[in-house]
Amino acid sequence: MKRWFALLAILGMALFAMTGMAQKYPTRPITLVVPWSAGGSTDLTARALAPVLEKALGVPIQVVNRTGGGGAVGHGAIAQGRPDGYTIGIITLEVVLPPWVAQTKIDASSFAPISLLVLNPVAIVVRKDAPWKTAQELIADLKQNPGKYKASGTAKWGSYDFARLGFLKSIGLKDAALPWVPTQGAAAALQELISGGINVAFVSIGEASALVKAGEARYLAFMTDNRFPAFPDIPTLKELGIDWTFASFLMAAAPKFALPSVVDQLDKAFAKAVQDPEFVRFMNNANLVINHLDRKASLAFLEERTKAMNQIVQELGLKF
Amino acid sequence: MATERFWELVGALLAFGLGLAALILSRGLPQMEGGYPGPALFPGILGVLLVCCGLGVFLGALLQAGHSRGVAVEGRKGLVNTLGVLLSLGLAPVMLARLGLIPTAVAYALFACLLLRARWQEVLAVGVAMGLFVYVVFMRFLGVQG
Amino acid sequence: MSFFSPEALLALLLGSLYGAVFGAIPGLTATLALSLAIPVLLFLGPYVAMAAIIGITSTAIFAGDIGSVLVRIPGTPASAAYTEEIYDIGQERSPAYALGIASIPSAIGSLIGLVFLVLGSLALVWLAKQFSSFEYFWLVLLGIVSGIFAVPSLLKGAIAFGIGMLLATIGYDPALGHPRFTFGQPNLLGGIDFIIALVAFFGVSEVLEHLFHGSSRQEFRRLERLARGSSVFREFFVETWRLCLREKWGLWRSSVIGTFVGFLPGAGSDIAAWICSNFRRMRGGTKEQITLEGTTANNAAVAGAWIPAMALGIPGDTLTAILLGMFLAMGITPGPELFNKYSSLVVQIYLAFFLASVVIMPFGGYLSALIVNALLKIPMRALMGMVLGLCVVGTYAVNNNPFDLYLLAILGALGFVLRQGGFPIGQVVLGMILGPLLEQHFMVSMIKTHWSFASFFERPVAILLALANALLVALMLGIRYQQWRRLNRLRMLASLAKPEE
Repeated sequence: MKRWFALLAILGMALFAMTGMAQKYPTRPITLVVPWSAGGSTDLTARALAPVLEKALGVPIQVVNRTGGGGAVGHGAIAQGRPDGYTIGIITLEVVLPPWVAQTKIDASSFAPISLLVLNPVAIVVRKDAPWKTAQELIADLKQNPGKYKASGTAKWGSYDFARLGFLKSIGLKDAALPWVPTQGAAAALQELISGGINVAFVSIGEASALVKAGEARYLAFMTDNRFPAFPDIPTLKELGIDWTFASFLMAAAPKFALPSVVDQLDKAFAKAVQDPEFVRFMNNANLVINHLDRKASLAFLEERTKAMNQIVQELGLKF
Repeated sequence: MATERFWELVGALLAFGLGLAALILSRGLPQMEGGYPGPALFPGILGVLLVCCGLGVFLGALLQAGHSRGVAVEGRKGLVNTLGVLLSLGLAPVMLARLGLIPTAVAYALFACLLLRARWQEVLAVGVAMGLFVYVVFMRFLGVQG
Repeated sequence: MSFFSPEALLALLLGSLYGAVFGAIPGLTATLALSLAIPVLLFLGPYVAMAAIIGITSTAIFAGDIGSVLVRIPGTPASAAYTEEIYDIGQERSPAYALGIASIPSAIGSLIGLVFLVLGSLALVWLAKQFSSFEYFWLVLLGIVSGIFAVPSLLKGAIAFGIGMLLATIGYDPALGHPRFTFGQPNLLGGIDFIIALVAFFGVSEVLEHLFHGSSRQEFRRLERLARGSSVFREFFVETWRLCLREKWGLWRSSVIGTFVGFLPGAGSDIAAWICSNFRRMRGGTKEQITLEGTTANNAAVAGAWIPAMALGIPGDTLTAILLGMFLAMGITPGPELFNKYSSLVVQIYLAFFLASVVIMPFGGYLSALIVNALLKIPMRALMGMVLGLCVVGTYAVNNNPFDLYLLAILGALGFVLRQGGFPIGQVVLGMILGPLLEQHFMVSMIKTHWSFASFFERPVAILLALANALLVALMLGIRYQQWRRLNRLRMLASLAKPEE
C-alpha cells in the first residue's frame, strides 16, 4: 500500500512538473522585431513598451530593428520566426495593402495577431483659405469637377493613398476624380498643401495637428468611428453618411503557428503594458493614439481591413 | 601614373556598363497614364549620361595612356589581397550566424592586419581591442544581438 | 524642456575627442570618422546623435591641422591648403604657437559661421515654407550642378553623380510605386540603405586601398618635445590672440567666404581653405596670414554647410549628406518640419556648435595635440584592421540584416575602383541623397501639371532659381575656360579641388 502511495505521489509530482513546464512560458529573453528603422514611430512604441512588458512577463525584451526592403525584411522575419513565442514583432498597415502584399508575398495571414496597440486615424486636411468649409462641400465639388483637384499624403500605393481611394469609392467616385500626387511622406505632403501644390492632404490627425493649431490648415473630417477626443468639433465621415474609416496601425504579432496559449499570455501582457501611465504619457507626447484590441478582435480587425482594401482594388479596378 | 590610367579605364568602363544596364533594364518598367514615361524616365536619363561620360573618360584615358605607352597593374600581390578581403566579406553572414558578433569582428580585423603584414604584437593588440570594443559598445551599450 | 541633457553633453565631448583623433591622424578622414560612428549613433536618438555629430565634424576639420603641425601631413584634405606654412611655423617658432594658430582662428571662423548658420537657416526656412516641388526641383538641380563643377574633371564628376543617383533609383519608384532594379530580391525593395553605402564607400574602400598599395611602412616622425612648460600658454593663447587682432579683416573675409563656399552644395571645407589660402598666397601674405585664413575658412565652411541641410534638406557637403541620411533614417524631415516639430533640437544644434567652437576648440586644441602625438605611434596597418572589423559590425548593427553584408562587399569594391580611377566618392554619396530628391520633385511637378514643362517657369521664386542655375553653369563654364587657357592656373586648380572628401 505504501508503495502505491509513493508511486502515485511521484506520478503526481511528475505530472505537476510537466504541466508546470508547459505553462511556464517565458523563461528566456523575448525578441521583439521592429520592421522599421530606429527613431520611427514603430520603433519608439516598441522601445517604450519593452520595459513595461518586461515587468509584466518577467523576462528581458530585446527590441531588434530588422529594416530594409520597405518593411519586407522585418515583416518576413516575424512571419518566418520560430513560432515558440520568443520571436514576436510589431506589424503595420502594410500587411493589408494589396500592392505591398503582391510585391513581398507577405500578407496578414502570415501572422498570429497578439494585440492591436496603436491606431492613428487619418484626417482630410485642407489649406486655411480653401473654398470648402465642410466635407460635404468638398464632396459636392469633387463630383462636379472630377480631376480638377489634387491630393497627397505619402508615396503612390502608400497607406494614405488607400485612405483616399476608400474615400473616393465610398462617395461613388473613381481614382481619377481626385488624383494622387506622390510625396515622400506626410511632412512633404503638408508642405505641398501649404505652398499650394496640392488641394487636399490625407495624413494622420497627429501629423497635421501642429499646422492646424497654427491656423495654416483645417481639418474637414476624420476617418474614425467616433469623434476624436482632442478635436471634438470635427465630424467623422460616418456622421456624414459615408461609410469609411481608415487608420494606420501598429499591432503586436507572432509567427503564424504560435501556440494559442502563448499568444494569449502575450496578449494579456500587452493589455497590461499599454495601460502603464509612463507609457501612456510617452505615447501622448509622440502623438500616437493607443487603442488596444485583444487577440480575437485583432484577428477580426486584420481580416476586415484586408477585405476592405481588396474591395477597393476590385471596385476601382486598380492595377499595380 | 600608369596604374591610375588603368583604373581610370576600368572606372569608365564600369560607368558605361552600369549606364547600359540601366537603359536596358528600365525598358521593362511600366508607363504612366497617357503614355508618359514614368519610372523609366530618370534611370534612362542617368543611363545616357553614364554611357556618354563613361565613353568620354575612356577615350581620354586611352589617348593619354597611349602617350605613356601601355598600362600596367602595379603590385599583383596588392590586388590578390584586395580581392581576398572582398571575397571574405561574402562569408560574413555565415560567420555571424555561426560564430556570433565578436569572433566575426575580430576575425576580419585580424585578417586585414595580417594581410597588411602587421607584427604579431600588433595583431594581438588589435584582436583584444576589437573584441572589447564590440562587446562594450555594440553588445552591452546598444544591445545588438549576435 | 532642457536643451542640453547630460548625455548630449557627454556625446559632444566624446564626439569631439573621437573627431580630433580621426581628424589629426593622416589617412583617417572626417568622413571616415562619421561613417563609422553613424551605425552607433542611429540608436541613440536625434538629440544625442546630433551633439556627437557636431562634435565630430567641427573638431575633425580643425584637428586636421594637428597632423600638419606634428608630421607635416594634413590630417584631412581640408588642411592640405596650408600644410607647409603651418608646419614651418611650428618648426621656426614653436609647435604651441602653430597649434594656437590652428585653434583660435578655427574657433573664431566656426563662431562667425554659426552666426550665419542661425540667421541663414531661419531666413531660409521662412522662405522654404512657400516652396513647392518646382522650387525644390531647381534647388536640387543647383546642388547637383555645383557639386559636379566642384570636381576638377567634369566628366568624372558627372559619372560620380550619375552612379550615386543610379544606385539610389533601386527600390520603389516615386511616381508609380513600382519596384525598380530589385531583381526579385525583397531586400532591395526599399532601396540601398544609405548608411550601408556610406560605410562601404568610406570605410571598406579605404581598407581595400591600403591593402592594394601594401601597408605604407612609413613611420611618422613625431615631435618629441611638444610641451614646454609655461611658455605654452603664452604662445598658444596670448600670441595667437595678438595675431588675430592684427588680422581681424582677414578673419572676417575668410569666415564669410568659407561660410558661403560651405553653403554651396558639393563644395566643402577643403575648397574653402584652398580659395582663402591661395588668395592670400597670391598677394604675398606671410605664413601666419596664409595659415590663419585657411584654417578660419575651413571651419566656417563646416557651419555654412549646415544651412541648406537644415533649412532645405539639401546637403552642403559630404559631411552634411551623411547627416541628412541619418535624419531620414530617424524619420525626421529637414526643412520647415524640423524647425516646427523639433525646435528644441534646432536650438540644441546651434548650442552644440557654440560650445564646440568656444570651449572645445581653444581649450581642447592643445590637449588633443598631446593625445594625438601619443596615438601616432599606432601603425596604420593596425588601424585599418580595426576599421574593417568595425565596418562589418556596424553594417550588421544597422538593420540586423545579413543581406547588407553582401551589399557592403559589392559597394566597397565599387568604391575602390572609383577611388583608384580618381572619381570623387564624396560626389557619389551626394548623388545618392540628391538623386531621389531630383526625381521626386520632377515627377511630382509633372503629375501635378499633367506634363506641362512651362510650369517650372511660372512661379516667381522658381524663375529666379532657374536663372540661378543658368548663371551658375555659365559662370563655371567661363571659369573653366579661362583656366583651360592658362595652363599654370589649371595646374593649381587641379590641386585645389582634390577629389575625395
